[in-house]
Amino acid sequence: MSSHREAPEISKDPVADSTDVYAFVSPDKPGNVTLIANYVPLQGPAGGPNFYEFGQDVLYEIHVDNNGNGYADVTYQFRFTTEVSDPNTFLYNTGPIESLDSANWNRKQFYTVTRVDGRGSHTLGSGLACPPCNIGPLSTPDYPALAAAAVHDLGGGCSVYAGQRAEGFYIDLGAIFDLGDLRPFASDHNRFGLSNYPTNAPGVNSTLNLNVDSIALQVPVSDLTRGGWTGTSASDSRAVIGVWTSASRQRVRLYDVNGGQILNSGPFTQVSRLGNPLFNEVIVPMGKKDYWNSQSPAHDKQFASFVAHPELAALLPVLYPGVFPNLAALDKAGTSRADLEAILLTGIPSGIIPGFQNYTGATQADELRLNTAIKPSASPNIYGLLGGDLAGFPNGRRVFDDVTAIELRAIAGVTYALVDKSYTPDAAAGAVTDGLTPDSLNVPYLTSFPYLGVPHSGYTPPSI
Amino acid sequence: MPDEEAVPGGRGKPATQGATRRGLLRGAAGLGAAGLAAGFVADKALAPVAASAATRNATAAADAAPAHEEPLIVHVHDARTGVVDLFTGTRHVRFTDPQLAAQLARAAR
Repeated sequence: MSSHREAPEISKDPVADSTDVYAFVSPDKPGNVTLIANYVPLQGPAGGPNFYEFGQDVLYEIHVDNNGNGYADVTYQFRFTTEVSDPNTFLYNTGPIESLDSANWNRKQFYTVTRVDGRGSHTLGSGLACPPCNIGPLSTPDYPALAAAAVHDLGGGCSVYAGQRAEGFYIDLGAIFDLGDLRPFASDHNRFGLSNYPTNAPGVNSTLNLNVDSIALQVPVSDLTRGGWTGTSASDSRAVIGVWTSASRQRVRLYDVNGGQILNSGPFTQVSRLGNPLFNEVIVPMGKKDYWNSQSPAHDKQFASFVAHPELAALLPVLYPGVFPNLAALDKAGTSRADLEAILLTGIPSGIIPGFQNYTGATQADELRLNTAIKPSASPNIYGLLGGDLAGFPNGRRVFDDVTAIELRAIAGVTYALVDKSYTPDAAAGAVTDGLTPDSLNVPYLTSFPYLGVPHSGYTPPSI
Repeated sequence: MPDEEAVPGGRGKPATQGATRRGLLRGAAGLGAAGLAAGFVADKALAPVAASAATRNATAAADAAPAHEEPLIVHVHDARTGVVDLFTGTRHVRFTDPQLAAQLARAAR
C-alpha cells in the first residue's frame, strides 16, 4: 500500500505506522497549505471494545524542509494523552457520545501541538480533544458534528484535527500482491504457467470500508516557506517545500510484569517515516526497509540506486511479456532512471514541464515536494502531472490523486521521455492502472478541512 | 549502521547526550538500589551490584544530588569492554565501566 505495513518491523507496530502523507494548497482556503499524516492502518470499523487511538508513547511529527538540504526547517510535533474515566468497566462508552466532553465516553484522547523551527519550540495548542471512533448510531449518533467539534483553531490562521477518518487511499492490494496482477490486464500476465488464471476484470478496492487515524494541519503558506515567502511565481525556488512525516519511540521498552504496565525510557528514535507514497513499499528492498524508516531524508542518497534502477521496472516486462519492450530495453541497458530520481529525490527542475518546477536542489531526499505558488486546479485530474494537472501529485499530493497509477506509469517509462526525448514509452505504460478511481470509495471526500471522509461506522454493514 | 540517526525535530543530530556520566551516577546514587531494581535489576541476585554501585558513588551522592524520580535502565552494551548505556527519562548516556559491567554480567549468570 502507500506505506501501510510496508516494512517488517513497523508492520507489527500499527500505532506508529505512517500510511499516507498529503500536502496541497487548500482549494477552499487560498493562501493555506493542508498537511495530513495518517497512522494506524487498515482499521476495521467494528474493532471494539478497544477502539483505535493514537499512541501516547509515540512522538508524531510532520516535517517541512524549505531550503532543500533534507533536514526539517519546520516541524510540528503531536503528543497524545489518554484519559480513562472509569477503569472498572470494559466499555468504551456507557451511553451516546453527543459531545467531546460527554460523560458517557470512557476513553478520551487529548493532544498537544508544538512547532519547532529555527526560533525554538513553541506550543501551539494543548489539551486538544480528539473525536471518538465512529462506533454506531447509538454510540455516535452524529459523528460529523463530533468531528467538526474536534477541528481546533490554533490561532494565526492554523487549524488542526487529529482523529479517525475514512481511508481515502484506494488500491487493489489483493491483485497487486498476487504476483503483480493488475486485474484490468490480467490476460496479459505471464500466469507462471497456470491455467486457472482469472481473466480481465475491474479492480477491487482493498481499503474499502476501512478507516485510518489522521493528523491534519492547515496553515498559512508563509508558515512553511523559506523566509515566509508568499509570492505567485511558480519558478521561484522559495515556492517549494518538502514534506514528510515520522513517528518516534523511546529507545527502551520494558514490560513491568509486577505493575502490568509498559515502561518507556530514553531518547526518542525514529521508527517510521513517509514522504512520497510507495517509496519504502515499492522502491526499498525488504532488508533495508526498517533501516530506511530510521533514517532522515537528508541521507537518502544511500537509497538512490534503488530509485535509479527500480526492481519493479525490471519486473513489469517479465510479468507482462511483450507489453513493455521499450522498458525492457531500457532496463537491459542499465539506464539510470533520472526521471524517477527527479520525481522522488530532488524534485523536477524548471524546463522539463512547461510552467512547473518543484526542484529543491541536488540533495537527494525522499520528500513530498509541493510548489505552493501553483493554484489548486478548478478541474482536478486524478493523474496529477501526468494528466496535465500541475496541482496534483507529484506536486504535493491531494487526497484523491491516483498515486498508484501515477507511480506505476512513471516506473513503466512514461516519464523517462521527459529526460530523454529519444525514448518512446511503451503504449501500455500510459495506460497502466489497477483499475480504481475515487469512485471505488463509498464515502466521499470532504470539500473542506480535514478533507478525508467521515469514518465508517462499526455498526453499518460493509457495502460495496 | 546509520551514520546519523534521525531524531525528533528532523534536524539531524542525536539529542542523547544531555547528561554526563557523573550526573547520571548521581541520580543512580540518589535513587539507590531501589531505583536500579525498578529499571533493570529486578532479580534479587543483582541487589549486591546495585548496592555496590551506590557505594562507589557515595562521594557523588554527597554532592546533594536531586532525587531521581525517573526509572533508570541499564544496558550493558559490551561486557568485555565495559561499555554501558544508561537510559532515564528521555536521556541516554554511554560510559565505560568494566568493573560495573563485569559485576552485572556475573549477576546475570
